[in-house]
Amino acid sequence: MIQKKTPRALLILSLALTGCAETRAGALHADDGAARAPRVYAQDAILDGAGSADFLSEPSPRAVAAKSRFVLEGVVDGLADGRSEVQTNEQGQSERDRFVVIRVRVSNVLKGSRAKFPGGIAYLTLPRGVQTYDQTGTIVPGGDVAVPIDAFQHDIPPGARILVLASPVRGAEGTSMWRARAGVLDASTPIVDVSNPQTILLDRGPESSVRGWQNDPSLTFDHALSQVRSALGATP
Amino acid sequence: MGTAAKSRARYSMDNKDGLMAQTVVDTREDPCGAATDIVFRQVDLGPSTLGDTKCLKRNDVNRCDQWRIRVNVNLIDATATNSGSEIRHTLCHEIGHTVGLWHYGFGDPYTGPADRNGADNCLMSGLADGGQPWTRSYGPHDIVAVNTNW
Repeated sequence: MIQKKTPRALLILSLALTGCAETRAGALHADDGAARAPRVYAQDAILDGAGSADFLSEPSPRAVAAKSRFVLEGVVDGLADGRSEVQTNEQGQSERDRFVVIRVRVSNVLKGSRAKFPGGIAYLTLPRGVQTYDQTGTIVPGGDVAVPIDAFQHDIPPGARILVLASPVRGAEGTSMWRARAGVLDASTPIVDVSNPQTILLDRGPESSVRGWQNDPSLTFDHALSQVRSALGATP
Repeated sequence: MGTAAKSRARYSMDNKDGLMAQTVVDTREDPCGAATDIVFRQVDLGPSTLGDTKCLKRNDVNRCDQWRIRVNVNLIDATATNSGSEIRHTLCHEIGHTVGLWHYGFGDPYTGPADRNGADNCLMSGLADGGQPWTRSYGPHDIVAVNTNW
């Protein structure tokens, strides 16, 4: 009799353990729900929509971090229209280089002073193209070549993780700044220049490489973040 | 533009080593006007940007009709071993963008080694100031790409 009951007892015990394991896994998932909200990913092709440039480039995110004033980790908080750099051309027209501002909720200042970013907010700026105006203030035919802010908002959504390896902005020589701090809600915080493709890394998904290093498949956002944290002796 | 950049802009437009060997370029240095294809400027673009290319005007079929190229001679003078060679590289690189060529090398956001296609050329990102012919000319695949595109 005992021998007959043992398999049944083992089966019941096994079911109980299985059920317990399922419950614990479910509980872990539920408890972790807030912290593990679905990730938001960015599409960064938009960053090059405004034109092309050649930069002093580095072989790794670690090397970019070494020469940058600020290294910031966070998530995108929102976008806004930014400043213009204005130059009068040979025909008396006004060439306005337009910029977009990316507002970032900073979770970790890996390099630089946290006090520079009051409220944990940093403001990044990058070019979005040129608009050319005639002397009456009207855009000349074919002269609106700026990427709309809406397009940036679509591709760089709030919540997307971002790693910034950059320095404060400095306008192009020979241009005048128009609404220099447009889109920046704090009067004292530095505006950070991310026009160099290696200075702004966006999370495009767990299997996507970050831009700036020839689509090196091993250089995902998490890998780049880990590399930079390690180089700067920072903790997650 | 300063004399150094201007002479190299003319060289880059007329360069018989690469792209311009495939076509006729009527290089003029008139004051820029509505018919100008590329406006060159020498501008200090800050501590990182060697040069940039932006479209100023589009035509009726939404192709860029007038480009602006800016070259940062101050930065090149400060960082390049051979400033003249780097100005040539930067100008060749930026002119390449006006005909649809893209980067390769570190700093390149998207394309991979295929864009180099076995032969270095002036579309390599970053400093390329060694003065070798490839630093101031386009590769065979660039020529094919341009002829296909245009």
